[in-house]
Amino acid sequence: MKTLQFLLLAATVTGCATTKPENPEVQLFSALPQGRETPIFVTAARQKEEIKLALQEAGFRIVDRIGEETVLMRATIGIDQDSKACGTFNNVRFQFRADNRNIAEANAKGWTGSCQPNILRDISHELWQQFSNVSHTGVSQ
Amino acid sequence: MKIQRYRLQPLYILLLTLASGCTYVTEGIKLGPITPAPNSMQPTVEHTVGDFSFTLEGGKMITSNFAGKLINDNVLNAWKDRHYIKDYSYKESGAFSGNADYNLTLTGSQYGESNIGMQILSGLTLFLIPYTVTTNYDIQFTLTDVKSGKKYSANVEESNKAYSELFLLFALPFTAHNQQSMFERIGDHLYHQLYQQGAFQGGSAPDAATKQ
Repeated sequence: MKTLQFLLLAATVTGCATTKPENPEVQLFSALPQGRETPIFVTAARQKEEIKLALQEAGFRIVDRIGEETVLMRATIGIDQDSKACGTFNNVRFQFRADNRNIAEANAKGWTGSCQPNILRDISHELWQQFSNVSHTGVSQ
Repeated sequence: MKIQRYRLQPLYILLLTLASGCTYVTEGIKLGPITPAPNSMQPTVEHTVGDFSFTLEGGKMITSNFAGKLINDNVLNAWKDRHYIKDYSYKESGAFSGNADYNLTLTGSQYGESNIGMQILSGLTLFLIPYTVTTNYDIQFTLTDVKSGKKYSANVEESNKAYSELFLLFALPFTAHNQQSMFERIGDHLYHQLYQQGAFQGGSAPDAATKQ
């Protein structure tokens, strides 16, 4: 019974964790194959349009069809930790994928949807800046 | 050319039902019914799961690859029932035999939204108290004509809701029907997009086909 109480308490505490935004942590494993002109296809089961818009505003070339030169950008938005009229507070992961491997991965936590500041925009801008800093053949140092 | 058949959908549904309590699943809410153009080609298809991600809040009973294969099986089964294709078989990623008319690769995302607290509460009360899972699908099919090498792509988004509760055991027939209806519609939309680009039309593919 004590174990059950502990589990319930732990679940409650976890559920009530503070909604403090965390800046994007970006890992770059290689440059985009065609640099800034690389076509990016976005897959996301949640907030797909908001993610596409954020990436487009950051500078990425977003396409609506998958092709051989396309890089897949898989976005995962985690469980809603808080909400307000403009959107929800979530963990967010962006993974740029080609040939079933990661080109880059970024993780962050913050407000999504149309909220300001917006973690989808922040993470997109951070990724664009870091990709811009590497050459076609180089890797971020 | 021998294509193996996999008709395990009822078994998957039963296993998932037993594993997660008794569940009623609604039809999808985003895609309307359409009637794609008839197809006289009746091709064979080999399919695989590419870059596909499955996430379920509060737990993960199955892997991304298994979830992707379930989607492929459901859609391709609908295609076969509607005579869009002759037969289909599964291949591991990167292991297409070259013997089928088309190779099909699934990519995309599936996300199950659910209240973890309600899941725990439901489990503690042996499913007397219900919980819900809203599943969002973002599905892309990339189809390759094995002979010509032409590639076609299609994508759809769909969403449905599952209610889990002990006495919903009796809703199993409705769940199976709704699931089938949803995947038929997903299949129709994917097939229609691919057909519009020139796939499944034998040697008479229109110029609109997108060679990539």
